[in-house]
Amino acid sequence: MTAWMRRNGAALLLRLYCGAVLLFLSLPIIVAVGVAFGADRIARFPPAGFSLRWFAAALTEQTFVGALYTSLQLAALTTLGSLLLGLPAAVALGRRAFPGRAGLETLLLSPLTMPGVLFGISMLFFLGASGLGLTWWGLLAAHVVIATPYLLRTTLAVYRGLDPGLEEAALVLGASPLQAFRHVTLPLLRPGLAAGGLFAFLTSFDNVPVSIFLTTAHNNTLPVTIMSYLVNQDFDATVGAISAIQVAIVLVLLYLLDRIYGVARLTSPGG
Amino acid sequence: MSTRRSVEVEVRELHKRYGAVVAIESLNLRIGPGELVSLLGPSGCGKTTTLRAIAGLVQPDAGEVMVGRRVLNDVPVHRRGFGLVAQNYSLFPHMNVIENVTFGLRMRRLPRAEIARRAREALAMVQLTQIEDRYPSQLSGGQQQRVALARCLVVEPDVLLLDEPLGALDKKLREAMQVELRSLQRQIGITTIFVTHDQVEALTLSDRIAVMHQGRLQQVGTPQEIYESPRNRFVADFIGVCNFLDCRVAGRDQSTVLLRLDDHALLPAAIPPPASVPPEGTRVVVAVRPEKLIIEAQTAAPERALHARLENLVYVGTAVHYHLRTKTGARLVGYRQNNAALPPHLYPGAEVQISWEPDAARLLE
Repeated sequence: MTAWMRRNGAALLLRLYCGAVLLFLSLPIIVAVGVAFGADRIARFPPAGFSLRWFAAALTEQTFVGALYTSLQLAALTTLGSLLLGLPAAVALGRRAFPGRAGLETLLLSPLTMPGVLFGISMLFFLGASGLGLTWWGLLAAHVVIATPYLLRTTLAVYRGLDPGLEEAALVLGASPLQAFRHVTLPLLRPGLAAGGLFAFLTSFDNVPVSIFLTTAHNNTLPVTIMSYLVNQDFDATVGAISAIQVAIVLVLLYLLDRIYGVARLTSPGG
Repeated sequence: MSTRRSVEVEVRELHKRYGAVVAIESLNLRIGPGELVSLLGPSGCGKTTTLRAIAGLVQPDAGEVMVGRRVLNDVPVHRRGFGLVAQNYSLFPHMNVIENVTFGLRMRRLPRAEIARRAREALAMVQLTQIEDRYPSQLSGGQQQRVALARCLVVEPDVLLLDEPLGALDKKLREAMQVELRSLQRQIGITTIFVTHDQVEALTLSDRIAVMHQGRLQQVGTPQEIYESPRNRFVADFIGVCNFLDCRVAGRDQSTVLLRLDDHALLPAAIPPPASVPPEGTRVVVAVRPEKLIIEAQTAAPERALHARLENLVYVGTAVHYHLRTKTGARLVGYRQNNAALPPHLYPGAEVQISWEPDAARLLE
């Protein structure tokens, strides 16, 4: 075997391997979305015929539309909430050394490692015992708790990678600490905030284990609605259609974010 | 920009420690209006900490930083009105050149027209044009350095603080920038503190040099004073190349002290004015620069010369370096300018006699 063949053989293998991984990752989505375009009454893949009737069915089903709206609203407010908590936390934890900093950082990141079900149950008990009850605000608070670590982690990473000399330069040039933060630190943290905000949104948008304990008939989220629909009824293509809509929303979001920041800028500050 | 009133900077009894590590100890330094003073020393000597304490970026444990008659200790960084250029320039990566340069003016909310005019002037001053729209990552090291300088000078600071600003440039560019920086500083008349570990740079640029070691000032003086009359072994060794000889005091006459070397040679050395002559017989160290050694086959007064063997001869272009070893084993190096043919009696293995003018040698503390 010549060196040329060996090199190209390896390249071919690598391509096949990557292709297989991508297929493995996307196949479930392809099936779910594909089913939604079927004309059959029963969900099957590959779909027989082509129709948009299941999309029409999903979008006229008030349970789904209401849940989709709830989920979008919840995810948007969760993102906002995690920004309001995560950004100051990242700035506080980023550079200044103070007693208990490591402990505080671990505490704030701990929802990442805690099983969602456990946190959901704990939150349920907490809301019950404290008399706050199962409200939309309780659900939002729970989502903010599990989403903030993502924002905190990406922002913290970007902040710690920034040259401290930049803030100092701004101060020496006459910027007040607030001006230095607004004009120098904040713009340079944007890649971390954008990536973290995206994670926060997605964490909330497709969460089941926490939401399932905290939702009521009035504020069901889309993932919880889909799951209970699947449990209570047969799998029909309406679920495929609403899933396809959910995937589409996420893709549009990713696309917009990429257009605004570029994928490269999400990982490297300042470029 | 040239009609400013220059200010005086003073540091009094400055102390700073990090845990058990002493960064600065009892530092006293006065920088006159319009003067350029270098803080020179090896890394970790406290020079950068001193600069940062003056800028307000480091809170000293004790002591005062003063500008004019005003104590600055409680004045926050952004109200001190200083300019700082750091080694990596710290240009804002998300702003282009003009946004970087106008930053300080924009933060002061000056009128647009004035901002534009002053930015133009500052960029012209550092000889930068046509690159206003570029981002720092698109600039060469030299251009970044100029942008950093323009950004800092445009706010017309009272004091210019430079923390190894030329350290990242290559040798040729660094030397050109040294000359340019110096003439710019003179032209503006701005009081300047320059931190460097490069002794040649300090000698080239400074009105005075403050040599630091282990958090303490070792000596403050003009480049000539520092080079010609080092106070102690550290200063003599750090600035340039120096020979050190152990000897005993053998007597004195007026401003010179006679030293006995190798138990027989008697050589003179100048005494730094404030120092008193130690009593006869005291062990002392004398410092002599290599270019001050007079190396001959036979001197007029052999009893007043150091007898040595020429071990090696290194030709370095502008000069020849002679490596010598005395009878007692001390190693010396002597430089001889290449302004004439190589003397035939100076060949490896030759027995030679070394002497020097009285004021060429210094007794160290």
